Amino acid sequence: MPAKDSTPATQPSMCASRTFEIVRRCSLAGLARALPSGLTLDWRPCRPVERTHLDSHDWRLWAAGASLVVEAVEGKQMVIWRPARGGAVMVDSAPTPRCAADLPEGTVRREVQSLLGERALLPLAALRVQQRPGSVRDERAKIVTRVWWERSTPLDRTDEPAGSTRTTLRIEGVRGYEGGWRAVQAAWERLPFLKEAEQEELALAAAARGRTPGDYSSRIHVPLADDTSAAEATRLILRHLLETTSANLPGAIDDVDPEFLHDLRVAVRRARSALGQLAGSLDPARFARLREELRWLGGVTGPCRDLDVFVMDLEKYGKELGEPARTQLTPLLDHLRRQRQRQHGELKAALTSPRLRRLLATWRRVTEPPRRPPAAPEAQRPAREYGAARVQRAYRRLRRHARRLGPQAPPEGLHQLRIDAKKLRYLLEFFAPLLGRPAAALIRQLKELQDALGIFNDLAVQQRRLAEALGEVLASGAADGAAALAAGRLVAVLEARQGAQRAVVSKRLEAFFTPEVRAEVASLTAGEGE
Amino acid sequence: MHVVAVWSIKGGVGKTTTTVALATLAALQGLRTLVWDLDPQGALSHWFRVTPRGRRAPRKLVSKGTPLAELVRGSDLPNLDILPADLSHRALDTALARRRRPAARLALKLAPLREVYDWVFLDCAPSVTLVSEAVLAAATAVLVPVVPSSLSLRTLEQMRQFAGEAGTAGVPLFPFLSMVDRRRRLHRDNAQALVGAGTFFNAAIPLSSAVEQAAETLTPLPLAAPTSAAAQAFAALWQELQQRLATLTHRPA
Repeated sequence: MPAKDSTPATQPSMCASRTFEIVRRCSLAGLARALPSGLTLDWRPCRPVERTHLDSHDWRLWAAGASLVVEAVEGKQMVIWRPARGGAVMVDSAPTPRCAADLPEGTVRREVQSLLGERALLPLAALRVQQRPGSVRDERAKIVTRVWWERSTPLDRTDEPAGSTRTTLRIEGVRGYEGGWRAVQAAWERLPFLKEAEQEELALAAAARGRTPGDYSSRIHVPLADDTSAAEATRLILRHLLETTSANLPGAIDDVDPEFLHDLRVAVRRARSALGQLAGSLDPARFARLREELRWLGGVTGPCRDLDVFVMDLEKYGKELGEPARTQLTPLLDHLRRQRQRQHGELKAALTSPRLRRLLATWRRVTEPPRRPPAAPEAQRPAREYGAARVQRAYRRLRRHARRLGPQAPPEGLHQLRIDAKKLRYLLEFFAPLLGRPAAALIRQLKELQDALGIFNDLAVQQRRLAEALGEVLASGAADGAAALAAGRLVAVLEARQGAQRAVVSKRLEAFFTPEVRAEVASLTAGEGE
Repeated sequence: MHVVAVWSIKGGVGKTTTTVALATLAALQGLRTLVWDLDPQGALSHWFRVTPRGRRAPRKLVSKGTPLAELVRGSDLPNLDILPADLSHRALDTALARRRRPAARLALKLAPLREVYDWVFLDCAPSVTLVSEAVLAAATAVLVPVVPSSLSLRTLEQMRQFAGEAGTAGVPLFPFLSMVDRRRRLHRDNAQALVGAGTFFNAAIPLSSAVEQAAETLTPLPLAAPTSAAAQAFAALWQELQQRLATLTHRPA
């Protein structure tokens, strides 16, 4: 891998690394001989290392160019954090961290946390390694480059060797010793038995566990071609959403992290939206049952997710309010966490039920390529034209509703606008590959509006839920007046924020219906409206 | 980010040994650590086999145009970086005097590193200069090694007085006993009285040949002789320092 050298000026410079594959037999003495005078290479004894690459289900660390690796060496376990800017930090960490909060407090935890959010760390790749560490030193015996000779074998999910063993030489520069680092690279690049490694270790090892870096993203991306028909596009979209739902099912059942359930619910919501908004391209009889069952799935997954969000919000507000409110809200939080555990039990029962298995089977069956073209009015229309027309229709609907509600829309009205905006967003995302740049621009603008509407809605829901939860917890005797007082303070804060948020919503709504945005929407069909 | 200065205006009291030991312990704990050698003798830099980068290093250390990050060099230990010094750093005081608001300069230079390092240790020269003033202004706390003798205690009083005159009386001065020779009755009695009075850290560093041997092999004491009494005392000092700073809220670094 090429050296990373784009280091901002505020960061200490240079800690690049490279990996060479050893393509034929070589002696370690040959490496030492190739170094220019003044540089010496020393090796420490060979040792076995168990290495596990940790990342979230959706590869957030990898996507950011960072890595978190756990190494068990000689009875000791270390976590090695390599941020995108280069360099490595070694942190004593046993047991293996399951989330960012399990790391010791400090800059490493903060950096990992900022990338991971609520996601759990999963062992997405593992290797058994024979490692010989070494150092290249200068005339002062100062290390200028670190070296690892390694023979590694990927391990499958049962930690059994799988895939081929490869031998590599990894080198890493030391900050502030660029001269030595360049000299080592220049000397070893020329050696015939070393070849720049073409594949990342992570990719090779993840393959042994049936994964590929970046193989999952909650974003929807259905590759649609220009000649795809509307019916085929809808089928592919629904199929993609089935795969996303299935990919998140085990994590939601095992409660690995809250994002599995979140992504599962988004996929179900998108599928329901597709079935409704793209109904003109579908055979209604074929999809009637799926539509009904997805409504059930949306319903049974709701309460647990709502509680996930509420608990996270309340934790955040507790921190914002500071002491003593934070402590006073604890009984309320404990009550909600218990409720959430109960709800997860019910969720698990639903997600492992025969009904869910039948639902997935139906979903799979109805999204198989049909033998005959579907009997639907819009089925054979080109997908691009169809998608653009649906987007335009959804935009007009949102605009009409916003206009009707006016600037003093009641909270329920804004909630309806939020749903309309979500439907428009889904359509734009479904057809984004065909609609190109204008769709991407619209998504960006729409996101701002959705964020504003989302915050407004959350603030309204949180006030209601807080009152409900307080009633429950007071009735159960698990909390006293102090909790009520803190909850009251929080409601007042939320109410004030909601008032301020209304102005933001009005501004964003105005921005989303300007003549320029309308022209962008119109340009999607380049004159071919409905 | 915690900025801890290890400072005494008396020489030969174990400042550099303390800085090397504490920085090593921090790095071994997985904390990103930077040591800034502010002593032109460069003993700490020598201990880590690191020399300053390029010419005019002292001027660059305090100039507006050069971020400190450009002058940082990696040590042989993971997680531990050094801003090294050599004899040319005796010009640091003059370079600082040429700047506007010289006393605030070190704090300003360290500010961009706040998100990069967990701990910064400043290894100070045994003097009272403009650099000392800037150190007091930049530090979250100052660790003062004190040999249990009456002359050393007098030095501690002078340092407190200087901190007051420099307008940095708010920076806590944490004295701890260093180079305690248990064979000497005066040391034993003074050590007992000072720790008992509660103004000194509980951890007291014994006079130890292990320290000299570690310096001889240019290996930090916690790695050279981790089970030695001195290394254990430094580990206790490190724990105490972390606890004290966790409860310290007087100002952010």
